[in-house]
Amino acid sequence: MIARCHSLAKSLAVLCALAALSLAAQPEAGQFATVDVFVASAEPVAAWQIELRERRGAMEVVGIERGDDPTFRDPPFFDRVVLERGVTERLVLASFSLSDAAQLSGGRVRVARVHVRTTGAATPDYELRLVAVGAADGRPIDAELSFETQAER
Amino acid sequence: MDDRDQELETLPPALVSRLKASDRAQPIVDPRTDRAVLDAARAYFEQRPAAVALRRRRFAMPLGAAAAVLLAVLVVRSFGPEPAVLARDDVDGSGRVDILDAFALARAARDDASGATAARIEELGYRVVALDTPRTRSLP
Repeated sequence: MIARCHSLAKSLAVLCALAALSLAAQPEAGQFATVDVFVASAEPVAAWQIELRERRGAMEVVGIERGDDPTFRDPPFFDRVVLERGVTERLVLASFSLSDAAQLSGGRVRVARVHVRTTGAATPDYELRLVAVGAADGRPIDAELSFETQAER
Repeated sequence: MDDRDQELETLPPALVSRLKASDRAQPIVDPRTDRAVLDAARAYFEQRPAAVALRRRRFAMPLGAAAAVLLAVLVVRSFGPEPAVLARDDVDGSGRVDILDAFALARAARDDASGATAARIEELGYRVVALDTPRTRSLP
């Protein structure tokens, strides 16, 4: 009986060691994060275009969603080559809504969410550039751009 | 008296006097003359290439700049977007092509003010975010 217990314990130890080795041998999975893009304007925003860059050129885009306003297209316009490239240096996003000004959101609005995968120890260094923002009547308007990143589970 | 004087005595006096005059008139070029001519020639030809080089330098910069401009124009015309295409895409007349042009096209289509199709609007929308085109596409 005691001999069986010993052999069972040994088997379990071997299995645990194999499992640990297997986990260590897996390639680096990386971490997933979201980059939420916000546009703040005194007038409701009906059209916008931004450029997102990662200064080290190590941004892997895995998905793109529209923001909080459901009248905008989902996802925004973007070059689908970024999903094929794997790692990209920059990404251009743009979208518009044909809703009336009264239906559009004003103030600070989340216009897009970019899902990225990060690898390595260095923290991503993002940079946003506002290309164009327009009101419901097509007029270019002033706006401020900001972003928030959040790690995904 | 040597043999030469004896030969002269046998010749007619007129010929002898002409031969002696010819001997005296023969120009003598000594090494100093050679050196002077050489120095003058060197001085002349040393100045000439310098002047030519100066003229070349004077025209090198404007010629190089003109060649660079010409090359840039040729490259842009060969590989850049056609100005006619840019002008057609600049729907709002802002002088550059961005999402506001696709938006203007979509609003015009909504209001039946243009014959723009949904495909044309989509195509323009995707073109303004294309990564292989310049970041800001402006009209020339």
